[in-house]
Amino acid sequence: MPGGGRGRLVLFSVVFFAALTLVGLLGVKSSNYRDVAQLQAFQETGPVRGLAVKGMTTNLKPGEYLLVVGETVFRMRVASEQPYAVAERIAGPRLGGDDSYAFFLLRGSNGFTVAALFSARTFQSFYGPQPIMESEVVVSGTYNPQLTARLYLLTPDGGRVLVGEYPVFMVDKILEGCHSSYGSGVGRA
Amino acid sequence: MEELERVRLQGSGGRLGAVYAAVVALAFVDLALGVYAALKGPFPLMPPIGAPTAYRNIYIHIPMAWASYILYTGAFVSALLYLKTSSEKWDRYVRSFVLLGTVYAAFTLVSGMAWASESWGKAWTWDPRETAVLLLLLAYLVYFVLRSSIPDPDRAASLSAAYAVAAYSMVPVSFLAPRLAESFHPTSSEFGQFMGSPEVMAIFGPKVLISTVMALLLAYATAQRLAGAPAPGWLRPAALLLIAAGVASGAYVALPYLSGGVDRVVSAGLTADGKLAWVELAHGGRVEFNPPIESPVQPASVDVNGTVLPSIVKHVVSVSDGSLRVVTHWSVALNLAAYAVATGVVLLLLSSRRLPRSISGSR
Repeated sequence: MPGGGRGRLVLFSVVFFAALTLVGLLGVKSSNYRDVAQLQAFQETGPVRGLAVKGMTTNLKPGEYLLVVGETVFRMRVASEQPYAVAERIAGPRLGGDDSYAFFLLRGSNGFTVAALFSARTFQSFYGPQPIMESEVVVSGTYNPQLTARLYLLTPDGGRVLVGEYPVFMVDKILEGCHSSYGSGVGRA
Repeated sequence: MEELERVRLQGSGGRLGAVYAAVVALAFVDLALGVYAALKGPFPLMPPIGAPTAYRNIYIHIPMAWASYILYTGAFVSALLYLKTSSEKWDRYVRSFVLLGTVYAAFTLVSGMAWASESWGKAWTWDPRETAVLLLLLAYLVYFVLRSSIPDPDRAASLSAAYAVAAYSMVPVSFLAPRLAESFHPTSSEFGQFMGSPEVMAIFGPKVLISTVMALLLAYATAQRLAGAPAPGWLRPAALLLIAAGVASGAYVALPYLSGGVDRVVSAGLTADGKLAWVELAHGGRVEFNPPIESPVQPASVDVNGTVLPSIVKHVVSVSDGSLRVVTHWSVALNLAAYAVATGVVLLLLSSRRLPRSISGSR
């Protein structure tokens, strides 16, 4: 191979190496999950399917709660401070295909929060009866900016206090990282 | 000149035969070790999601991923040597390393998807490393397209060698992806916690070593085959036997699924002395054990943030006649079989009288 030809090939390699590195880095960086905060910009009038978002879970304080999603009313009890509770339907039409949902609040980096509802049966069969949720969770599912969930804390005197009103994110999968797995000890079977 | 090379290759037939014999022997040892890992390999005691035994993919998926990085590094070094010396020998090594690296990377991607479907909740999540490995694979597939699109063999060799150097940029990107962006893949320090266990290392260490040595020997044999050195006659039946053994091993590990009756434990109760009193199954309801039995998962319980949980929870199990057996997740069986089949197919390809044109580069 003549010297000039080799020089051009080396230049080709260096330029392409840099270009592919850039493509790779852009690909990797753009693979980050959408933050819940970005849902705030959604103005759609109907549900948006197939979204994957990450957010921080918020611990629910102990107490009895009412959750009103559209016309459906759920009741839930939180025994000790934890990031989720199982909401059982007590009135109104069925929401989706289930009567009970795992409910948790997902907060974005700017504080914007959505109410995440995940079929309790699916949730427990995958996570077990006492799920261990990490503080940051990535979920996929359907976001409906027009559907809101109002969360009330029931007071001992029979009254109720509005905790917050949040748009609803119907979860179909919790995409959990495996980082915590490796620290849970070694099992044998 | 070519005649001389052919004579030299025929002369080295004994050494090449020994390399093929070593590859086949290692492939069977690797398969046996894979079956052991699939049935007995330790796993993280309480993963946040899915069956803990899905993590037995550690012993199959990761050695293949590392071997693909090593093969691509071989291609990078060979390409640099080709650009320096213009020796045909290095061109053959580039082709050989890229070909095998691509087979290994494709397997890494597919096996990872099967595992992720259980342990991440979804087969494809555009995780940064998943994306990076996909880009890596696409970058190296372009190598073959580029090479076959240039009619002049010398120009094809030099341009594709230069491209192989460039494509290597995707290897560090893919390796570092979990550090560059938030990823479901653990970093090596997180992974190290689990790997620190001697019983894990006793399986994982040999698996990585065997996969790497086998990949390098396969690359050497492929390069010789590209030079025209014939493969021994016994390679074809040995490759077919490996494929059959791979399918049989996968089927054996997946037998409980194939025969039906598997279920998932959603809840369980332990007695004060740590025996299993009952389990609640996702579909089969509650099963009581009277008297209580030893938990098939040891240790029987795990402390998670101060809460003691039975470690049998989330496992896929089969229950019959009052006994409970842990079933290895199907993704492990699938990957075990696929790995042996992929190796067998590569050997089968090498044993063929004429290599496919897309591999041999002949026109």
